[in-house]
Amino acid sequence: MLQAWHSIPRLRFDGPSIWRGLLQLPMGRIVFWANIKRGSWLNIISFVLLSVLLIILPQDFGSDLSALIFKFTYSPFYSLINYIKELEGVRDENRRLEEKVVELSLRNSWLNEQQLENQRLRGLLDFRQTLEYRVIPAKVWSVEPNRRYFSIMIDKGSGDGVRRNMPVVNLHGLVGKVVDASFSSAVVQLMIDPNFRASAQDEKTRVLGIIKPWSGFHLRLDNVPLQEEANAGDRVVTSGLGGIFPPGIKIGVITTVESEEDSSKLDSSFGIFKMLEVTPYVDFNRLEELFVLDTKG
Amino acid sequence: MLWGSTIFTRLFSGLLLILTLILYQTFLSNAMSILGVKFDLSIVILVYIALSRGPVSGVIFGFLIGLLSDIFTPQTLGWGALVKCLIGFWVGSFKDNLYLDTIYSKGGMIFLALILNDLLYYIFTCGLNSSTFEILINYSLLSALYTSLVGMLILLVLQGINRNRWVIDRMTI
Repeated sequence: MLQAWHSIPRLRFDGPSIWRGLLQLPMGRIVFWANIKRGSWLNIISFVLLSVLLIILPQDFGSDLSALIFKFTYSPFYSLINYIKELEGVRDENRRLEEKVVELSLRNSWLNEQQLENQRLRGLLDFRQTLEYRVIPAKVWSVEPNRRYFSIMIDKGSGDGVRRNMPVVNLHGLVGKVVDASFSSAVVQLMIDPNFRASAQDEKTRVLGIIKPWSGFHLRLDNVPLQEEANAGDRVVTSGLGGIFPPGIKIGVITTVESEEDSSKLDSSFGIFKMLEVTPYVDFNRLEELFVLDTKG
Repeated sequence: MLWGSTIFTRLFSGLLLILTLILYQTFLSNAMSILGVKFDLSIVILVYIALSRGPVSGVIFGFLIGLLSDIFTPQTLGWGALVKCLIGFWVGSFKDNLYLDTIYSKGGMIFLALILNDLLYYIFTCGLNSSTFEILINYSLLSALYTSLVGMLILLVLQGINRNRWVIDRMTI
């Protein structure tokens, strides 16, 4: 068998020899399969089984294992990057912050007055507090380095009160939700992840739909019936349905509204729904400071 | 004794490649993206290892490289490793085979491996539907083209290094 394997000439991609190669291809494949030793098959099967074992692991154990591997592989390098980044901007930041402190302390005293007045007026009108959730500030610890840039890791975990399915926002709007939390870190699924879905609505017309990723960093508002009104330039916010995202968080702005004919061509729903392209407010290439919203807290 | 052994050399070079991958992904990955299209060094390394060492090494490296990418998405832990194991085995089965002597065919192999990798990964994690192919077209095609072009250059350099080492070995004997 080995002799047969060695007797197959090594062919190059040049002229008529390619035809000889094609003719000998089936023979070469058979010899190849027979040539893999029994021990090698054992190795191959073991690693495939190991992968399957990882797939069927309970999620908590899987996230702890991921955190452990991350700690011994990427973590030292990411710490180095973060340290250098922090050092780079620290002097300028300090000067800027000193100016800001003066400005903010002046504004703070003014706001205190406003708050007192606000409380008085709310008391008069019997309004309930609008902010019903605790905000957990977090920093982006690492960005998924693969081409599939759909999730990030933050530096706050279950030890800080972060739990699965908590919404994550930044100053511009909705970023995503927590899909996994170990003790000191958590994984945030970004809105551009193909599996991400959120109930949303047009802020102006109040039309409900489902926000899901489209191409690149763009989103799509799905399930909006054709007869409903939704126009380019309208803001899209979370609707509060579904129980994960509180209502009113900014998502993005409608940039394209496909007509009925175009919609039937592009959408799998055969022209029943409008196809609305939404450009998110959040720049996913520049995520730094984030806030996890503890809606149950 | 251990230093000169084949197993040690393979282990050392393997660890070096994994470390290179980690360093690339940490420091250079974003800098090397053009208009959001990223270069995937992990596939280039996997194709290089599998083509030069065969299916067993392809599967082992596929597992390790896949695991490294999986830790960023613990909710799909294991799927990346499994897919890259399969890709490593498939590419490794072409070791010493037919047309893969030319750099262009190796580039083609990188292209196919990346497309197949993404297709299997999305099918396993998102299911097979129309959006699977949308994602494949939106995210994978350009990336596969970019990766195979840069990958060919990297493989050319690696081939050059290996050839020089072979000549030096011959001269010292």
